[in-house]
Amino acid sequence: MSRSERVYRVLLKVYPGEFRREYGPQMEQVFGDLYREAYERGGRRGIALLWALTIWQGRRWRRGSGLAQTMRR
Amino acid sequence: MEKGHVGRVREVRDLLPLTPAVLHILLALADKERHGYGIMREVEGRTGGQTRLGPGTLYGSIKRMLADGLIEESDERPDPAMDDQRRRYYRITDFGMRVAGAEAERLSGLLETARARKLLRGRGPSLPEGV
Repeated sequence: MSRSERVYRVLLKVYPGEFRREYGPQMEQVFGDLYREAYERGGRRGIALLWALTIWQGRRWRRGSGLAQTMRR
Repeated sequence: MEKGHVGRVREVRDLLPLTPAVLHILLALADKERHGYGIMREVEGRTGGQTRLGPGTLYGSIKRMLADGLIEESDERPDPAMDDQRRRYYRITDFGMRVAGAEAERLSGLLETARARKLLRGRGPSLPEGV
């Protein structure tokens, strides 16, 4: 497991516990896929872009455009 | 009508309008079962890279869609090359197909209105780029 994947595992703690227990392993799996793809496409630059996108999407999610939006009903 | 996992009976119209993420996921699953990463790749490819679902948005949507009966988990492993114990596959339900169709018709109606009011560059039946 790469350092990025280990860091991502820690960052998953921002998600609610129940959601993290149910989907955390899958999210780790997907991030690992994205990591390998980003590295193959762009090396370190690709990894930097992946992290920028991940942080941006995580902040949007926290502000309510993620789970809160999809769970609004 | 459909009974979601939470036990409520839901009508198609109860779920409209769909969020963009939910509609993209339904479209991705309309032709075959996919796992989460497969859904992300399909959405990104179909939109020319303009739409990228993050893992949080993807699985937040999937959780809600399972509860609403739009999709269900599949026991089959259609992509053994990428198999992993953690990887779960999802497929669209008949109810999900009906909801996706109703949303597409709703959007089509909006598009017709926009076209009638000359808000679109395209004048014929085909859609302009990016729509």
